[in-house]
Amino acid sequence: MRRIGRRTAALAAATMIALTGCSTGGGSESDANGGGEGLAPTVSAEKLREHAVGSLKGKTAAFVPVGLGTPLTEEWARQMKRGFEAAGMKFVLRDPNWDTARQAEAVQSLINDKPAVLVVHNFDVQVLAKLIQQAEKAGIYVIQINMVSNYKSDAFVGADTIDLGRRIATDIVKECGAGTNTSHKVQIVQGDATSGFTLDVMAGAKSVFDKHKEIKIVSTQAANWDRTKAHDITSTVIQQHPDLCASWGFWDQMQYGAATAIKEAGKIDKVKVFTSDHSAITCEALRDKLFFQSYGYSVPTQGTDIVAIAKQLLQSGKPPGSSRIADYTPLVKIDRSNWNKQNMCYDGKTDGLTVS
Amino acid sequence: MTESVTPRRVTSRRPPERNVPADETLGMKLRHLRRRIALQQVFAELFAKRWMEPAIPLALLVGVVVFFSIAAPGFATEQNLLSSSAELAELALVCLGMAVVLISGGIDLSVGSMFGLCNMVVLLLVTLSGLPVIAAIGLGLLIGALLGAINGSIVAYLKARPFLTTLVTLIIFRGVLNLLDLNFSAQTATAFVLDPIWEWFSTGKVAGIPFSFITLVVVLLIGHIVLSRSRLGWHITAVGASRRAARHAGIRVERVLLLSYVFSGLLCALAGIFYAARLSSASARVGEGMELTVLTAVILGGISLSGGKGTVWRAFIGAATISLLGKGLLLMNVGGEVFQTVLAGVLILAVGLDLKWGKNRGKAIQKTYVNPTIVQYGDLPDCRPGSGSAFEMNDRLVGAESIGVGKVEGPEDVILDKQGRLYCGTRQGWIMRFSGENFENAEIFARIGGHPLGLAFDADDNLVVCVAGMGLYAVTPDGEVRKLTDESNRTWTRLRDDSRLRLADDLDIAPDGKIYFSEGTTRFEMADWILDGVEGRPNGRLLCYDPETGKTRTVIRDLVFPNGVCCSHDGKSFLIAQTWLCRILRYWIDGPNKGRIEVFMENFPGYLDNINRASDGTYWVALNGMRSPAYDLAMRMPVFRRRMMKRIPRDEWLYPSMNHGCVVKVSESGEVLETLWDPGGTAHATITSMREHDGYLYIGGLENNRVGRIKLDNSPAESVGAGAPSVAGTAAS
Amino acid sequence: MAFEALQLVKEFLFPGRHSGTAIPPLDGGLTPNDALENADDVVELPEPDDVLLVGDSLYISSRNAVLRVPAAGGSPVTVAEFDGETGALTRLPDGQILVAVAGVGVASMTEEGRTRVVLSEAGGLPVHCPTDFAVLDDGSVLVTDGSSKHFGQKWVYDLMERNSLGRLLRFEPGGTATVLADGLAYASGVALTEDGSAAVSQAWSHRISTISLTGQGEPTPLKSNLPGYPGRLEPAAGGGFWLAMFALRTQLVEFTLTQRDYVREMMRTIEPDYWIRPALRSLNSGLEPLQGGQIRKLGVIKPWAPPRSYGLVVRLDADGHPSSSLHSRGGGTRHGVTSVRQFGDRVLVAVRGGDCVVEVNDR
Repeated sequence: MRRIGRRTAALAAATMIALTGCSTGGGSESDANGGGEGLAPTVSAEKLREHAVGSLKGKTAAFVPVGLGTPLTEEWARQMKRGFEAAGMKFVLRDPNWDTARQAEAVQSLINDKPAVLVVHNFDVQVLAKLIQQAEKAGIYVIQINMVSNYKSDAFVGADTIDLGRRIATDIVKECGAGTNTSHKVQIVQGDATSGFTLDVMAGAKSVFDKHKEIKIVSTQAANWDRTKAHDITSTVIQQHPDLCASWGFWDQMQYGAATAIKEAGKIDKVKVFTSDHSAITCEALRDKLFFQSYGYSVPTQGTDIVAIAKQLLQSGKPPGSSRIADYTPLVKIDRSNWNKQNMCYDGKTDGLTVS
Repeated sequence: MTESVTPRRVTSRRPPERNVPADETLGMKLRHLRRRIALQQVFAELFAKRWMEPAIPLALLVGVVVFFSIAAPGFATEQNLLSSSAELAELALVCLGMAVVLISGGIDLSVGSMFGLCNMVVLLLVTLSGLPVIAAIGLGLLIGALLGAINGSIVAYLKARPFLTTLVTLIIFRGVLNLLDLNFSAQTATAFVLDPIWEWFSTGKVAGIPFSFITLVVVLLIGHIVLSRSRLGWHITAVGASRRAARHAGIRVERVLLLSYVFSGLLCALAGIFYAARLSSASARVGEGMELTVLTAVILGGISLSGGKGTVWRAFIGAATISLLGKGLLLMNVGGEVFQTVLAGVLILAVGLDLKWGKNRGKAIQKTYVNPTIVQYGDLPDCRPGSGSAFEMNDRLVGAESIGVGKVEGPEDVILDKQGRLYCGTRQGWIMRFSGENFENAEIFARIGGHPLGLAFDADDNLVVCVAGMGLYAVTPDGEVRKLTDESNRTWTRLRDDSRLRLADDLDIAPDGKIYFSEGTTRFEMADWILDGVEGRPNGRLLCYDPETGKTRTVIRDLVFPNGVCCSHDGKSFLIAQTWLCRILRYWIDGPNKGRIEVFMENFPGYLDNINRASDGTYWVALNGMRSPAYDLAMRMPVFRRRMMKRIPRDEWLYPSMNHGCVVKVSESGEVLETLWDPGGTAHATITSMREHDGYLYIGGLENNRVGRIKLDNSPAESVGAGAPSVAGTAAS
Repeated sequence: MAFEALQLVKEFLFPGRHSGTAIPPLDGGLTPNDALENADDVVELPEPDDVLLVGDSLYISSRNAVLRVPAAGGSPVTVAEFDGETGALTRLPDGQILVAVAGVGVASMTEEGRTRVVLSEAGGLPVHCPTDFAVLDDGSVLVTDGSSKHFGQKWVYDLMERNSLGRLLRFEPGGTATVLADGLAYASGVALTEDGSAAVSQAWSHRISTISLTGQGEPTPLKSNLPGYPGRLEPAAGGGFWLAMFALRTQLVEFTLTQRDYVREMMRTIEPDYWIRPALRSLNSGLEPLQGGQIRKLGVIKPWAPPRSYGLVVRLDADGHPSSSLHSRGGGTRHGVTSVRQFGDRVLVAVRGGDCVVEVNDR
């Protein structure tokens, strides 16, 4: 009896000690960025320069896309690297290789390293929400690019996705809606169902399609930004609906696979392919009459805009999380009439690309 | 050499466990000192431990950690390791599930899909269904168990092959997940859950360590206990090792298989819950390709794909290696493709080395276990006929009678009771008894096992016997066998567990009833006693069993193969014969020198075995073999012996010359009085004991097939060996 | 210590690769039997080294003398005594009997017992260890000189030092001796082959080599890796040879020979009788080194125990392959065969370690 008593006492004591160590939350110190005092308007140019350069020098900017190996993210990285290094900052890149969990891991480890600025390209609206919060608490400015999270941080740079959805939906209604001699059938190929891009584009599209009930959305599938998956989905859909009017994919790299499937089914001249983003493949596809139209959202500008906003945030001295900026870059419609103009598309490697 | 011993002053310091020549130089002393530290022995005993089996995966894990601590900045920080542990916990839980299924002989390829599906289900329940979080978590676990049960029932009751079954369920579960994703995930995207329990699951920390990791540790401990010490765990391992044999043994194979798959599903669900809480990612792609990573992890850890072997720790080591490897490469900013290549390389290395380790571990231990040291001897006394020394060879044993020729095998010791019946042990583990005029009636008195060696009678006529390989036993006059003890206190400063008695050799009973007996060596089993001889280290001990309390304790530690034990005529000391040192020690148990040890006689020309009291106040000593000059030289050169052991088979080794032995009579003051030889050793090779009774001397030999008997010239009619208190009626273990 | 650790790692990664030749087992034509043990006794006398049958008389070399015995048996009579141990015997066409005398050279003996030394030096070195003779058609004699350093019963020193000081000599009686080959590892036997070259036993390298009589060219191996130490060769009726194997190889001896520091100490401090070595007879003494398999168990030493001494007569065919053999195994009395000679259809064996001469059937 005594022995049992002693053992339970020991166990209880251990549990007590363990419980006292319990805590929740990301838990880390939050130090406000250096400076904080505003500069007077009468400050000398020398002092202004000192403050500006000093806020940036030696600081690190980190970028975590969903994955490299595609012109979109590579163009961003290229622009950012050029811009940040010109400003005297270090640029760090992490490649999660299209894996959600690895992106979370990468962001977590970057929070441990504490860069000055963190640029994230969210896989979906939930996965990095808590981490972004944690990063801001740790004193890191977070800029989100193109795909937004549930947790809004200091700045968002990207396409005006809600407007984009509205515009493309309107264009589709023009081509496939009432008054056209088509079946009014539309296929939608999403990226990820829970991606910020998808949700916002779908919200914009809904507001238009709700007013045009004749448009029948025969298939809404998530192809996970993967060309092959889009191809497979579309080949099934085109079999089921040979009279399909339009196929709308949310990303040109992915939608190229859908277009190929439609071409293989021999329907490419009947089915109109809509998409967004303007990498080189869009211009080539428009040239080869695979795409009908695409909306570019000025990807190179997005890269340089990020650098500008980062510079501003770093010099402002305001604590991370206190701003709420959204920078929507211009939407440009590219179709078969203007695809071969200069700078319409980009390839992630050169400036001023022209596809011919 | 000492034909008569000059009485030494008994110092409190114990004599060194080696023969110290009179002219020993400092260099020799240092050489001996250096040889005492046997680093190789530490390694050999370490590798012999069962928990060193996963030595290679563990070494790999340590290697990965060390490498990345140097190469990747920020790897070895506390923050990084703590945050990595949360990610590791999820992977490790799934690996654990896979490991349980592998051990049961199957495979579960659907772990990735189950993980993703449970993640999605829990998220939907928590955000959309309105159930309290606890209920959602419980339901999630239940669903995981259900998914596992689907796998398990198909495999167990429909007798389908696990590979195919789980491949199909992989697709089915992933399909269900895709459906859910398509229809519901968009709705979860904007929901924000603010529940303390949910918070706890996602970011809860106990003393800085994430809650998921704590849960993992608890699950590992439970899993280890269940798998290694509970009936269910043994059944799982048995089914995995041989399903047919398990069925024949009466194990409910189907139930066990079902349970193992249910465990797998349950653990995937638990991992999925932690993932859902941490990342809230309701995507159909969660867990895609995870089954390959998990499989790689368990194989890396060394769990056999064919089933029946494996521990939870191996699964954990594999998961930790892969997780930390990925983390390290990420921190080094190496691209994702490289991760796969590096993983493949590490896998090949791990599997190759682990296979070799498994096959060769026994051999590696064997080759490093024996650590010969320098054993020096004095000048060899000349025993040849005509030499005139006290040990001069004669042929007094040539005419000895043979008792029980061909009926006994290996009578190491012989003793006679009050009625004059002869007892001896045999290598089959029996005690034979010979009775009658000429000992013509042979019968098996008791069946004990092992190889009964030293014999003695206590005051109640119980036959107390040292059984090699078993311990100390007592046989009542009716032939009933009782174990007295088979263990002693463990030496905690040694790696090897020496609490069990391996080679109880000879015994004698002190006047107060305590039984003092020798254990020849603690490092080798009974069949390998010769290895102790080749090693020559102080591996043996003298123990004392107290019949009153039933306790055994080690009286003298670290003796070089103590063999014969004999209480002196006055009951105040014990003589201990040390085989490989060819000397006798005296250990005082009473009187002014109580507790001290001195050298009684040394530099015998042969290897000593049993000692027994003679009828006239003197002692009989058995020499079971002669010292040959070649072997004496080999004992001075440990490298020679070590190489000999490694390169040639045991049958070819140089052995002590055990085909020629003799019996020596020595006085209380250490003088050699007479010797009895069988030159040529045809009838009596390897003489291990002799017993005087009623004017006759009875000769026992460890490898012989008879007991010898010769008539002695001076013959008082007393028998010796009696007069000790009883061991009956006392606490026996 | 570091070397041992490296060896261990190598053993771990590549187990089971050993260098060095293993001792071949006794099988095929060498399958053990008791034929020699059960052979018929001709005469018993201490340490017979070689036998020579001339008509009705059997000449036997034993210790420092040559004895004569009636061919059917009877007590031996000393014909002549010499200044060293007598060894090989042979008869020249002109009736002289050549006797190899250790430490002296080759002596010639008449049937009456008159002796003179005919060869004591060749190639600048003394011929101190003549081991065997082979008589050529032109009356010259091939003599094998075992070693230029040790002779007589000190052959075990030569083995322990692993010397290769043996030579093959060609000697014209009354004339000079030429060295046909040297650097042999204890040349212990010689016989003529069918194609006119000499087959020479090299005991320490366990092989029989053919050496051309022109003195040009290297010895070519006829039969290598014998399981024992080959001794005297005798052409057999019907082709092939008789080989007297005076001891078998044991792994302990071969191992010990690689341990030079042990061998040095052993040679320095221990009597040769008690070395780890092959012997012609077992002294049955506790001072001899014992091998594990030789321990007497249940009263018996197993016949296939590692042999300190062994009796083996081998019948080789013309290619040197053993076609049959006669053994005296462990525990037997007829060990240490130094010579096998064929006279017509009688085959006589000198068993030195068994103190007897026996006769066997020609199989």
